Amino acid sequence: MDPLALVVLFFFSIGVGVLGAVAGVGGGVLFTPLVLAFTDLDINFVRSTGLALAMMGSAFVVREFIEAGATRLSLMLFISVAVATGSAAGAAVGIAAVMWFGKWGEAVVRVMLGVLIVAVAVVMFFFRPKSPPSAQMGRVARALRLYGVFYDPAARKEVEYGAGRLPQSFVLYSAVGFMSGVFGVGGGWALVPIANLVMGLPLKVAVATSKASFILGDMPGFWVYLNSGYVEPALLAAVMPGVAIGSVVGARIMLRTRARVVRYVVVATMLAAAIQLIARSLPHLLGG
Amino acid sequence: MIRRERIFTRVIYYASVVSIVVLVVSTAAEAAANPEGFAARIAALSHGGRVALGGLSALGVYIFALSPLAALGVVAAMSIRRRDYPVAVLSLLLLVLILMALLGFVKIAE
Repeated sequence: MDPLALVVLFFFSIGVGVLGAVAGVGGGVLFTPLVLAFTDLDINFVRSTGLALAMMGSAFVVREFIEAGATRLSLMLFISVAVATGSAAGAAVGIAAVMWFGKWGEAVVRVMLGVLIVAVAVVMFFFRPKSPPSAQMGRVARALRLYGVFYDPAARKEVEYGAGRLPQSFVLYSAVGFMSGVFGVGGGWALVPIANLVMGLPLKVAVATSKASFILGDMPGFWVYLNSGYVEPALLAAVMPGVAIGSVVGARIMLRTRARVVRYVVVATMLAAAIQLIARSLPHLLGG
Repeated sequence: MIRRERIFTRVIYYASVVSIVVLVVSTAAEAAANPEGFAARIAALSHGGRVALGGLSALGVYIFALSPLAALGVVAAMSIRRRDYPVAVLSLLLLVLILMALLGFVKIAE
Protein backbone atom coordinates (compact mmCIF):
# COMPACT_ATOMS: atom_id res chain seq x y z
CA MET A 1 0.00 0.00 0.00
CA ASP A 2 1.19 3.48 -0.86
CA PRO A 3 1.51 6.07 2.00
CA LEU A 4 -0.82 8.34 0.01
CA ALA A 5 -3.49 5.69 0.48
CA LEU A 6 -3.58 6.78 4.15
CA VAL A 7 -4.94 10.16 2.97
CA VAL A 8 -7.54 8.34 0.88
CA LEU A 9 -8.42 6.22 3.95
CA PHE A 10 -8.85 9.40 5.99
CA PHE A 11 -11.43 10.81 3.55
CA PHE A 12 -13.02 7.36 3.19
CA SER A 13 -13.42 7.12 6.96
CA ILE A 14 -15.15 10.53 7.00
CA GLY A 15 -17.69 9.02 4.61
CA VAL A 16 -18.01 5.94 6.83
CA GLY A 17 -18.58 8.18 9.86
CA VAL A 18 -21.26 10.21 8.07
CA LEU A 19 -23.11 7.18 6.70
CA GLY A 20 -22.82 5.30 9.99
CA ALA A 21 -24.22 8.19 12.03
CA VAL A 22 -27.11 8.87 9.66
CA ALA A 23 -28.04 5.20 9.26
CA GLY A 24 -27.52 4.41 12.95
CA VAL A 25 -24.81 1.76 12.55
CA GLY A 26 -21.30 1.73 13.96
CA GLY A 27 -18.36 2.47 11.69
CA GLY A 28 -16.83 -1.01 11.86
CA VAL A 29 -19.63 -2.79 10.04
CA LEU A 30 -19.05 -0.52 7.01
CA PHE A 31 -15.28 -0.01 7.30
CA THR A 32 -14.08 -3.61 7.63
CA PRO A 33 -15.98 -5.22 4.72
CA LEU A 34 -15.40 -2.27 2.37
CA VAL A 35 -11.64 -2.08 3.03
CA LEU A 36 -11.26 -5.87 2.82
CA ALA A 37 -13.28 -5.99 -0.38
CA PHE A 38 -11.59 -3.14 -2.25
CA THR A 39 -7.98 -2.93 -0.95
CA ASP A 40 -5.09 -5.36 -0.52
CA LEU A 41 -4.50 -4.54 3.15
CA ASP A 42 -3.75 -7.49 5.44
CA ILE A 43 -6.90 -8.87 7.06
CA ASN A 44 -5.57 -8.71 10.65
CA PHE A 45 -4.70 -5.00 10.44
CA VAL A 46 -8.10 -4.22 8.93
CA ARG A 47 -9.95 -6.12 11.66
CA SER A 48 -8.05 -4.48 14.51
CA THR A 49 -8.64 -1.05 12.93
CA GLY A 50 -12.35 -1.84 12.49
CA LEU A 51 -12.62 -2.75 16.19
CA ALA A 52 -10.76 0.42 17.23
CA LEU A 53 -13.06 2.44 15.03
CA ALA A 54 -16.20 0.99 16.64
CA MET A 55 -14.79 1.68 20.10
CA MET A 56 -13.76 5.22 19.17
CA GLY A 57 -17.31 5.96 17.99
CA SER A 58 -18.57 4.65 21.34
CA ALA A 59 -16.08 6.75 23.34
CA PHE A 60 -17.42 9.91 21.73
CA VAL A 61 -21.09 9.23 22.52
CA VAL A 62 -20.95 7.55 25.95
CA ARG A 63 -20.78 10.88 27.77
CA GLU A 64 -23.74 12.32 25.88
CA PHE A 65 -25.92 9.25 26.47
CA ILE A 66 -25.22 9.00 30.19
CA GLU A 67 -25.69 12.75 30.66
CA ALA A 68 -29.05 12.55 28.86
CA GLY A 69 -30.09 9.70 31.15
CA ALA A 70 -30.66 7.41 28.16
CA THR A 71 -28.61 4.63 29.74
CA ARG A 72 -27.46 3.49 33.16
CA LEU A 73 -23.95 2.49 34.10
CA SER A 74 -25.15 -0.85 35.54
CA LEU A 75 -26.98 -1.73 32.32
CA MET A 76 -24.02 -0.71 30.18
CA LEU A 77 -21.64 -2.77 32.35
CA PHE A 78 -23.88 -5.85 32.17
CA ILE A 79 -23.94 -5.77 28.36
CA SER A 80 -20.20 -5.01 28.24
CA VAL A 81 -19.36 -8.02 30.44
CA ALA A 82 -21.36 -10.28 28.13
CA VAL A 83 -19.79 -8.84 24.95
CA ALA A 84 -16.28 -8.94 26.49
CA THR A 85 -16.70 -12.64 27.31
CA GLY A 86 -16.90 -13.46 23.61
CA SER A 87 -14.74 -10.68 22.20
CA ALA A 88 -11.26 -11.93 23.20
CA ALA A 89 -12.09 -15.52 22.19
CA GLY A 90 -13.39 -14.27 18.83
CA ALA A 91 -10.24 -12.26 18.12
CA ALA A 92 -8.08 -15.27 19.00
CA VAL A 93 -10.08 -17.57 16.72
CA GLY A 94 -9.93 -14.98 13.90
CA ILE A 95 -6.14 -14.65 14.15
CA ALA A 96 -5.64 -18.41 14.56
CA ALA A 97 -7.73 -19.16 11.45
CA VAL A 98 -5.42 -17.01 9.33
CA MET A 99 -2.22 -18.12 11.09
CA TRP A 100 -2.86 -21.86 10.98
CA PHE A 101 -4.70 -22.21 7.68
CA GLY A 102 -2.99 -19.46 5.65
CA LYS A 103 -4.75 -18.16 2.53
CA TRP A 104 -7.47 -20.78 2.83
CA GLY A 105 -8.24 -19.75 6.44
CA GLU A 106 -8.26 -16.11 5.42
CA ALA A 107 -10.65 -16.88 2.56
CA VAL A 108 -12.98 -18.70 4.99
CA VAL A 109 -13.02 -15.67 7.31
CA ARG A 110 -13.62 -13.30 4.37
CA VAL A 111 -16.49 -15.38 2.96
CA MET A 112 -18.06 -15.72 6.42
CA LEU A 113 -17.76 -11.96 6.88
CA GLY A 114 -19.45 -11.49 3.51
CA VAL A 115 -22.31 -13.76 4.58
CA LEU A 116 -22.56 -11.95 7.94
CA ILE A 117 -22.73 -8.57 6.20
CA VAL A 118 -25.55 -9.82 3.96
CA ALA A 119 -27.38 -10.96 7.11
CA VAL A 120 -26.79 -7.58 8.77
CA ALA A 121 -28.12 -5.79 5.68
CA VAL A 122 -31.23 -7.97 5.79
CA VAL A 123 -31.69 -7.24 9.54
CA MET A 124 -31.26 -3.51 8.86
CA PHE A 125 -33.76 -3.64 6.04
CA PHE A 126 -36.45 -5.53 7.91
CA PHE A 127 -35.87 -4.62 11.60
CA ARG A 128 -38.75 -2.58 12.93
CA PRO A 129 -38.45 -1.49 16.55
CA LYS A 130 -41.28 -2.65 18.75
CA SER A 131 -42.80 -1.24 21.85
CA PRO A 132 -41.06 -3.37 24.43
CA PRO A 133 -43.18 -5.92 26.26
CA SER A 134 -43.87 -5.22 29.91
CA ALA A 135 -40.57 -5.92 31.64
CA GLN A 136 -40.49 -9.22 33.48
CA MET A 137 -37.51 -8.52 35.66
CA GLY A 138 -36.01 -11.39 37.55
CA ARG A 139 -34.22 -11.32 40.89
CA VAL A 140 -30.81 -10.92 39.26
CA ALA A 141 -31.96 -7.90 37.24
CA ARG A 142 -33.35 -6.32 40.41
CA ALA A 143 -30.19 -7.10 42.37
CA LEU A 144 -28.00 -5.59 39.63
CA ARG A 145 -30.38 -2.61 39.36
CA LEU A 146 -30.91 -3.04 35.64
CA TYR A 147 -33.88 -0.68 35.59
CA GLY A 148 -34.48 3.02 35.49
CA VAL A 149 -36.49 5.97 34.27
CA PHE A 150 -35.63 8.38 31.50
CA TYR A 151 -37.32 11.48 30.15
CA ASP A 152 -38.21 11.13 26.48
CA PRO A 153 -38.26 14.66 25.03
CA ALA A 154 -40.04 13.51 21.85
CA ALA A 155 -42.91 11.89 23.77
CA ARG A 156 -42.64 14.51 26.55
CA LYS A 157 -43.01 11.96 29.28
CA GLU A 158 -40.97 9.81 31.61
CA VAL A 159 -40.50 6.22 30.49
CA GLU A 160 -39.85 3.44 33.00
CA TYR A 161 -37.85 0.46 31.86
CA GLY A 162 -36.38 -2.75 33.21
CA ALA A 163 -34.23 -5.48 31.70
CA GLY A 164 -35.81 -8.91 31.25
CA ARG A 165 -34.61 -12.31 29.94
CA LEU A 166 -31.07 -11.90 31.27
CA PRO A 167 -29.75 -15.44 30.57
CA GLN A 168 -30.89 -15.41 26.93
CA SER A 169 -29.61 -11.91 26.29
CA PHE A 170 -26.25 -12.70 28.00
CA VAL A 171 -25.70 -15.65 25.65
CA LEU A 172 -26.71 -13.59 22.61
CA TYR A 173 -24.45 -10.69 23.62
CA SER A 174 -21.52 -13.08 24.08
CA ALA A 175 -22.14 -14.49 20.59
CA VAL A 176 -22.15 -10.94 19.17
CA GLY A 177 -18.89 -10.22 21.04
CA PHE A 178 -17.38 -13.36 19.53
CA MET A 179 -18.33 -12.33 15.98
CA SER A 180 -17.13 -8.83 16.72
CA GLY A 181 -13.70 -10.21 17.65
CA VAL A 182 -13.49 -12.60 14.69
CA PHE A 183 -14.50 -10.05 12.04
CA GLY A 184 -13.64 -6.67 13.61
CA VAL A 185 -17.05 -5.17 12.91
CA GLY A 186 -18.28 -3.76 16.21
CA GLY A 187 -21.76 -5.06 16.91
CA GLY A 188 -24.37 -2.30 17.06
CA TRP A 189 -26.33 -3.99 14.27
CA ALA A 190 -27.10 -6.89 16.66
CA LEU A 191 -26.92 -5.28 20.10
CA VAL A 192 -29.77 -2.85 19.47
CA PRO A 193 -32.30 -5.52 18.33
CA ILE A 194 -31.29 -7.76 21.28
CA ALA A 195 -31.71 -4.95 23.80
CA ASN A 196 -35.03 -3.92 22.28
CA LEU A 197 -36.64 -7.25 21.37
CA VAL A 198 -35.11 -9.66 23.92
CA MET A 199 -34.39 -7.53 27.00
CA GLY A 200 -37.48 -5.40 26.41
CA LEU A 201 -35.77 -2.02 26.63
CA PRO A 202 -37.32 1.02 24.92
CA LEU A 203 -35.61 1.76 21.58
CA LYS A 204 -33.82 4.92 22.72
CA VAL A 205 -32.42 3.17 25.79
CA ALA A 206 -31.47 0.17 23.62
CA VAL A 207 -29.58 2.35 21.11
CA ALA A 208 -27.83 4.41 23.78
CA THR A 209 -26.83 1.42 25.92
CA SER A 210 -25.62 -0.64 22.96
CA LYS A 211 -23.53 2.15 21.45
CA ALA A 212 -22.03 3.07 24.81
CA SER A 213 -21.10 -0.56 25.52
CA PHE A 214 -18.58 -1.00 22.65
CA ILE A 215 -15.75 0.90 24.28
CA LEU A 216 -15.67 -1.60 27.16
CA GLY A 217 -17.03 -4.77 25.56
CA ASP A 218 -14.79 -4.83 22.48
CA MET A 219 -11.61 -3.87 24.34
CA PRO A 220 -10.49 -7.46 25.20
CA GLY A 221 -10.64 -8.33 21.49
CA PHE A 222 -8.59 -5.26 20.64
CA TRP A 223 -5.96 -6.25 23.24
CA VAL A 224 -5.62 -9.69 21.63
CA TYR A 225 -4.84 -8.02 18.27
CA LEU A 226 -2.52 -5.54 20.02
CA ASN A 227 -0.58 -8.26 21.86
CA SER A 228 -0.29 -10.25 18.62
CA GLY A 229 1.32 -7.29 16.78
CA TYR A 230 -1.62 -6.57 14.48
CA VAL A 231 -2.31 -2.94 15.40
CA GLU A 232 -0.71 -0.36 13.09
CA PRO A 233 -0.69 3.18 14.59
CA ALA A 234 -0.49 4.85 11.15
CA LEU A 235 -3.77 3.18 10.13
CA LEU A 236 -5.44 4.30 13.36
CA ALA A 237 -4.08 7.84 12.82
CA ALA A 238 -5.65 7.92 9.35
CA VAL A 239 -9.00 6.43 10.27
CA MET A 240 -9.87 7.58 13.79
CA PRO A 241 -9.99 11.37 13.17
CA GLY A 242 -11.90 10.76 9.94
CA VAL A 243 -14.61 8.78 11.70
CA ALA A 244 -14.79 11.33 14.54
CA ILE A 245 -15.31 14.17 12.03
CA GLY A 246 -17.72 12.10 9.95
CA SER A 247 -19.84 11.18 13.00
CA VAL A 248 -20.24 14.83 14.01
CA VAL A 249 -21.15 15.86 10.43
CA GLY A 250 -23.45 12.83 10.07
CA ALA A 251 -25.30 13.65 13.29
CA ARG A 252 -26.11 17.10 11.87
CA ILE A 253 -27.09 15.78 8.45
CA MET A 254 -29.34 13.19 10.10
CA LEU A 255 -31.67 15.92 11.31
CA ARG A 256 -32.30 17.15 7.75
CA THR A 257 -32.21 13.89 5.80
CA ARG A 258 -34.79 11.21 5.22
CA ALA A 259 -33.26 8.43 7.27
CA ARG A 260 -34.97 5.72 5.20
CA VAL A 261 -33.22 6.82 1.99
CA VAL A 262 -29.81 6.79 3.70
CA ARG A 263 -30.59 3.40 5.20
CA TYR A 264 -31.20 2.00 1.71
CA VAL A 265 -27.91 3.50 0.51
CA VAL A 266 -26.06 1.89 3.42
CA VAL A 267 -27.74 -1.47 2.85
CA ALA A 268 -26.84 -1.32 -0.86
CA THR A 269 -23.21 -0.39 -0.01
CA MET A 270 -22.96 -3.28 2.45
CA LEU A 271 -24.39 -5.74 -0.08
CA ALA A 272 -21.91 -4.54 -2.74
CA ALA A 273 -19.01 -4.96 -0.30
CA ALA A 274 -20.25 -8.41 0.74
CA ILE A 275 -20.59 -9.61 -2.86
CA GLN A 276 -17.10 -8.31 -3.74
CA LEU A 277 -15.65 -9.95 -0.58
CA ILE A 278 -17.19 -13.32 -1.40
CA ALA A 279 -16.28 -13.07 -5.11
CA ARG A 280 -12.63 -12.28 -4.32
CA SER A 281 -12.30 -15.03 -1.72
CA LEU A 282 -14.17 -17.91 -3.36
CA PRO A 283 -11.31 -18.87 -5.74
CA HIS A 284 -8.93 -19.24 -2.74
CA LEU A 285 -11.57 -21.19 -0.84
CA LEU A 286 -12.36 -23.57 -3.67
CA GLY A 287 -8.72 -23.86 -4.68
CA GLY A 288 -7.91 -25.24 -1.22
CA MET B 1 -25.31 12.82 36.61
CA ILE B 2 -23.45 11.73 39.70
CA ARG B 3 -19.71 12.27 40.14
CA ARG B 4 -18.81 8.66 39.43
CA GLU B 5 -20.48 8.68 35.99
CA ARG B 6 -18.98 12.09 35.21
CA ILE B 7 -15.44 10.89 35.96
CA PHE B 8 -16.02 7.66 34.01
CA THR B 9 -17.24 9.40 30.85
CA ARG B 10 -14.57 12.11 31.00
CA VAL B 11 -11.72 9.63 31.36
CA ILE B 12 -12.98 7.71 28.30
CA TYR B 13 -13.69 10.81 26.22
CA TYR B 14 -10.51 12.78 26.90
CA ALA B 15 -8.28 9.71 26.60
CA SER B 16 -9.74 9.12 23.13
CA VAL B 17 -9.17 12.73 22.08
CA VAL B 18 -5.60 12.70 23.42
CA SER B 19 -4.84 9.37 21.74
CA ILE B 20 -6.07 10.69 18.36
CA VAL B 21 -3.88 13.80 18.68
CA VAL B 22 -0.83 11.76 19.73
CA LEU B 23 -1.36 9.24 16.90
CA VAL B 24 -1.75 11.90 14.21
CA VAL B 25 1.24 13.98 15.42
CA SER B 26 3.52 10.95 15.81
CA THR B 27 2.56 9.51 12.40
CA ALA B 28 3.13 12.86 10.67
CA ALA B 29 6.49 13.25 12.46
CA GLU B 30 7.58 9.73 11.49
CA ALA B 31 6.59 10.27 7.86
CA ALA B 32 8.46 13.60 7.74
CA ALA B 33 11.59 12.31 9.47
CA ASN B 34 12.03 9.14 7.43
CA PRO B 35 9.84 9.09 4.30
CA GLU B 36 11.44 5.97 2.78
CA GLY B 37 11.18 3.95 5.99
CA PHE B 38 7.60 5.06 6.50
CA ALA B 39 6.68 4.16 2.90
CA ALA B 40 8.26 0.72 3.34
CA ARG B 41 6.32 0.17 6.57
CA ILE B 42 3.01 1.10 4.96
CA ALA B 43 3.76 -1.04 1.91
CA ALA B 44 4.40 -3.99 4.22
CA LEU B 45 0.84 -3.77 5.54
CA SER B 46 -0.35 -5.53 2.39
CA HIS B 47 1.93 -8.51 3.01
CA GLY B 48 0.98 -9.41 6.56
CA GLY B 49 3.65 -9.63 9.23
CA ARG B 50 3.55 -8.04 12.64
CA VAL B 51 4.14 -4.56 13.99
CA ALA B 52 6.41 -3.87 16.96
CA LEU B 53 5.03 -0.75 18.61
CA GLY B 54 7.46 1.88 19.78
CA GLY B 55 7.91 5.59 20.34
CA LEU B 56 5.20 8.21 20.49
CA SER B 57 2.76 6.29 18.30
CA ALA B 58 2.79 3.40 20.79
CA LEU B 59 1.91 5.90 23.49
CA GLY B 60 -1.14 6.96 21.46
CA VAL B 61 -2.33 3.37 21.09
CA TYR B 62 -1.77 2.54 24.77
CA ILE B 63 -3.57 5.68 26.01
CA PHE B 64 -6.60 4.54 24.03
CA ALA B 65 -6.36 0.88 25.02
CA LEU B 66 -5.75 1.52 28.72
CA SER B 67 -8.38 4.23 29.23
CA PRO B 68 -11.23 1.76 29.95
CA LEU B 69 -9.11 0.13 32.66
CA ALA B 70 -8.54 3.49 34.35
CA ALA B 71 -12.22 4.41 34.02
CA LEU B 72 -13.38 1.03 35.38
CA GLY B 73 -10.92 1.22 38.25
CA VAL B 74 -12.34 4.58 39.30
CA VAL B 75 -15.92 3.29 38.98
CA ALA B 76 -15.16 0.17 41.02
CA ALA B 77 -13.43 2.13 43.80
CA MET B 78 -16.15 4.77 44.03
CA SER B 79 -18.92 2.16 43.91
CA ILE B 80 -17.37 0.20 46.78
CA ARG B 81 -17.08 3.40 48.79
CA ARG B 82 -20.73 4.25 48.05
CA ARG B 83 -21.75 0.65 48.81
CA ASP B 84 -23.22 0.34 45.33
CA TYR B 85 -22.18 -3.31 45.12
CA PRO B 86 -23.95 -4.29 41.85
CA VAL B 87 -21.96 -1.72 39.86
CA ALA B 88 -18.80 -2.56 41.80
CA VAL B 89 -19.13 -6.27 40.98
CA LEU B 90 -19.86 -5.68 37.28
CA SER B 91 -17.01 -3.20 36.86
CA LEU B 92 -14.54 -5.49 38.64
CA LEU B 93 -15.66 -8.41 36.49
CA LEU B 94 -15.10 -6.39 33.34
CA LEU B 95 -11.78 -5.14 34.66
CA VAL B 96 -10.65 -8.74 35.13
CA LEU B 97 -11.79 -9.73 31.60
CA ILE B 98 -9.86 -6.85 30.00
CA LEU B 99 -6.82 -7.53 32.20
CA MET B 100 -6.83 -11.19 31.14
CA ALA B 101 -6.67 -10.13 27.49
CA LEU B 102 -4.07 -7.47 28.24
CA LEU B 103 -1.80 -9.87 30.10
CA GLY B 104 -1.94 -12.35 27.24
CA PHE B 105 -4.13 -15.05 28.81
CA VAL B 106 -5.69 -15.44 25.38
CA LYS B 107 -2.72 -16.53 23.24
CA ILE B 108 -2.49 -18.03 19.80
CA ALA B 109 0.14 -20.71 19.45
CA GLU B 110 2.14 -20.47 16.20
